[in-house]
Amino acid sequence: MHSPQTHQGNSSSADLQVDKARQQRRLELAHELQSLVPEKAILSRPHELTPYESDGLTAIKQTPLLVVLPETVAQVQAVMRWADRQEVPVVARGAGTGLSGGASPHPDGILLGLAKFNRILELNPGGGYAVVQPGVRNLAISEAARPHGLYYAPDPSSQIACSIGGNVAENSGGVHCLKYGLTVHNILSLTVVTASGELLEIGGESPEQNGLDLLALFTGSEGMLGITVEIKVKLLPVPPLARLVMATFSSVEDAGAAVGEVIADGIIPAGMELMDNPAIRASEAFAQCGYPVDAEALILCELDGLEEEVESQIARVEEVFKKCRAETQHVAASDEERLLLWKGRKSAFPAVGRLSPDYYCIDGTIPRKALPQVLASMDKMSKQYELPIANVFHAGDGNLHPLILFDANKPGELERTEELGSKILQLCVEVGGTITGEHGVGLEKINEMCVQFNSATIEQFHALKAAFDPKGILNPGKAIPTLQRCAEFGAMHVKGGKLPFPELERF
Amino acid sequence: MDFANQDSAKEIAARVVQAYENKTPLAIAGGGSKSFLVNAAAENAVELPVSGHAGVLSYEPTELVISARAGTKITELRETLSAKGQHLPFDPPAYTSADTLGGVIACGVSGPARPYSGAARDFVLGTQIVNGRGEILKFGGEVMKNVAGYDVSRLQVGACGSLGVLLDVSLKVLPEMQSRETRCFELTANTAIGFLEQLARKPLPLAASAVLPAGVADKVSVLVRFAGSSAAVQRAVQDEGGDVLAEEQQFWSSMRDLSHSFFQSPDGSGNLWRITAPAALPLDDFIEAIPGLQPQNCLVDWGGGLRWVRSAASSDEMQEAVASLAGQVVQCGPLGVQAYGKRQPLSRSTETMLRLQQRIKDSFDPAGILNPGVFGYEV
Ligand SMILES: Cc1cc2nc3c(=O)[nH]c(=O)nc-3n(C[C@H](O)[C@H](O)[C@H](O)COP(=O)(O)OP(=O)(O)OC[C@H]3O[C@@H](n4cnc5c(N)ncnc54)[C@H](O)[C@@H]3O)c2cc1C
Repeated sequence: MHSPQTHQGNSSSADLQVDKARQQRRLELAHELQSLVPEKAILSRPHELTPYESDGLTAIKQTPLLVVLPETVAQVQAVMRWADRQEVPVVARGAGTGLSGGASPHPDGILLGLAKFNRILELNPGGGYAVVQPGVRNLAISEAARPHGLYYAPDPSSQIACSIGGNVAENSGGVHCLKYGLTVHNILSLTVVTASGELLEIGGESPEQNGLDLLALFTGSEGMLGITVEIKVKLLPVPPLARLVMATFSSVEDAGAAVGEVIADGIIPAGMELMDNPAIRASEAFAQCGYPVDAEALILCELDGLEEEVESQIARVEEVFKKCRAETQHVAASDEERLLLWKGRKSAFPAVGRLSPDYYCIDGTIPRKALPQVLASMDKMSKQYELPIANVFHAGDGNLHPLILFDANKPGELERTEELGSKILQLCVEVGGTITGEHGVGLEKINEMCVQFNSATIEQFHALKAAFDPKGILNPGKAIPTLQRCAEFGAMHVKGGKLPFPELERF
Repeated sequence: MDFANQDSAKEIAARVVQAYENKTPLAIAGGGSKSFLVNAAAENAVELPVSGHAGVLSYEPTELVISARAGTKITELRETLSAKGQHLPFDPPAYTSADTLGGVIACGVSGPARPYSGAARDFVLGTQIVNGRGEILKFGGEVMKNVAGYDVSRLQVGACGSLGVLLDVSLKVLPEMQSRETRCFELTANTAIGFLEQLARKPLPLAASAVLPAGVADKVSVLVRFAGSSAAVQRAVQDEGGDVLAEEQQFWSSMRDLSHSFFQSPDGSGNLWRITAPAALPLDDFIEAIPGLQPQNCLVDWGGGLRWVRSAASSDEMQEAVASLAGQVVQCGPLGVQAYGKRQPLSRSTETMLRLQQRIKDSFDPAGILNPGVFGYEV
């Protein structure tokens, strides 16, 4: 998270000059675009631009020169051909729920909103797939498939709002991805508009293509390699039965160990989530879902499948939890109760948000066995920085979401929060994990990329990006740091947190 | 710490650096068992042996992750995992006892479980590679969820070594299935694929499916494997019926490792062809579309997605026919003979795709020295 770098509100004459030049450029570009897209598809007035100034990472605010909302693939192609020729930066945007600043606008570029691509083009129950436009909401796919007994498996907590195009760009996960996989495991092919406006089919009807398989590479590429305009997603049969066990533990360590034991027993639950006491309290206050607020740690473990299978696995899971010193266990009595218990977990972010003026969501992944060590270190850091942390954890696959509570109006607290967040991510790398499990690098974690990858690897990433986007117009400055930036970040480390270049933007 | 093997990584990198400087094309040589799936590398290529870089690096069953050097034998991996009640869900083949992890990942081969459990690519979590400049690079990691940087690890799967020499690979593993059962259904060529499609739309613990010539005119045997908890498998076979297939484990291994008699005793002269096609394509339409194909010379795996064919058709004829079905074909050479394969050029691809693939190749391997020609077209 980073301090805003907007030009608004500044009154020096140099800034006024900049504002004037930007306004001039804005009008020029709007004029040029009018021949490519309908006039109503171009937003240029301040009040029209404000809703687009940030994604879910609201600490970074930046208005684009223009927002363009194309309605057809041909228009996207025309805009990209034009942007490529003019070397105008283009940032794609789905629903803007991203948490790493991936859809944060470029000050000199256009924001390409894909909200109007909101149609399900084909639903093929026999073939087990759907073809959708990128602006379709994640949940809308499952809703459409439901009458056929099918659904789309990845279920990010933001699924009511986030777009499938954004999910592909971030390789989003959800609470059920332990068993059913991430976005990359649930898409079959993509249609993409390249940086220079050409149309590209990635994957196809046959399970394999000759040549390089670009589907996984494109998934999670954060709008850096092309614009997704069509997605073929896999639809799975809805499991006949799903049951949820809620277990409480007297420590997060015990709960963490219990997660490992369930897996050691040979069971892969549909979902296995862990929350600590602050997260339990916040979610209960928000959703009134029946969580025991005194518990130090809570596990939600869902089993799904055929009835006989689920019943036998529930019994085994209860046995394992008992051995792992569970304090209480409760199996949801009805589907309503099961969904209510999930609702508490899925609203954990906004719930924590109500407890504190601001919160900052971290997204590291660690090997599960490192959980006690990481929790202990975080506890220490939380005290040292005087910032409380609530933890929600996709425990089955080691994806940790510490939520740091802070107040941006207190001087210095945002900066302290950012520093603490960065420390936590570096800790994740130290124990063999990664700086981002599902929210992406965007602008937010660009410095921490330098900790995770060596220079040769970072150069290889840049070379790969250039293969797709030789002029570097797609989402410039995101996802992969320049080596210069890494050198500066490294230098910051050496000086023990004292910033050597306070005048530089710190993303 | 196995210093000999650490040296082997440096040695491989040094060889690539040298080749890069001298612009010497390299043919990366693992176990050598999958040459029939790729085109021969350029004639002047020098062999780069990599199977000596072997051994499991780390394995912790409760983390569901195993990391191993690329030269590690598939058979060794299977044993290591099976000792802890786990397995590789994409069920990689071992065509010979020499098959390596690197070969499986580079060629992107998956066993019969693929349509139901996922492909090789789906289980790769991280890789360490040597790119065409001889730099050692590490992508991904050993955790299940990781979106830091582009997913170059999964890009290596099926890249046939054209983007880098694989050094280490980390894979997601899962608990072995508690119980397995295979049922056999006698159907006709025009109903078999639709039957499998219907099964796949039901919440059943499917693990594999195949269609074989039944030896009776106009009939085919459809084999369906169920695997999962005993309770689920029992329920599934009760509901779906069919005849029990004895020795089912052997049967699926023979499909996976191509040791089934279909691959051993060719019916008449000709080649073995590996065709991937839209899974939903009915078998009778497929047989009709492939030049000179007799029903007894076609074996279907992956619920219809993979079709093995024995045929004396010419390469051109076959490529044209398969392209018209939106499929892909590899000519695997005469049966039983170790030979290089012949892949179909990117016929259905556009100029845009070809150029992009070339630029990606250049970004990893600017001198074009890594396995040049494996795809059968310029990249
Ligand atoms: C309360 C809350 C809960 C969340 N829970 C989860 C969770 O459980 N799991 C999870 O993984 N994430 C979660 N997220 C993060 C976020 O919802 C996901 O990253 C989501 O996939 C973003 O989708 P979007 O449509 O909002 O994308 P945006 O925010 O609009 O964009 C995200 C990135 O995708 C690019 N992009 C968007 N559309 C396209 C396109 N068509 N072509 C090319 N690039 C494109 C953008 O340039 C940007 O880089 C949560 C967010 C919130 C606010």
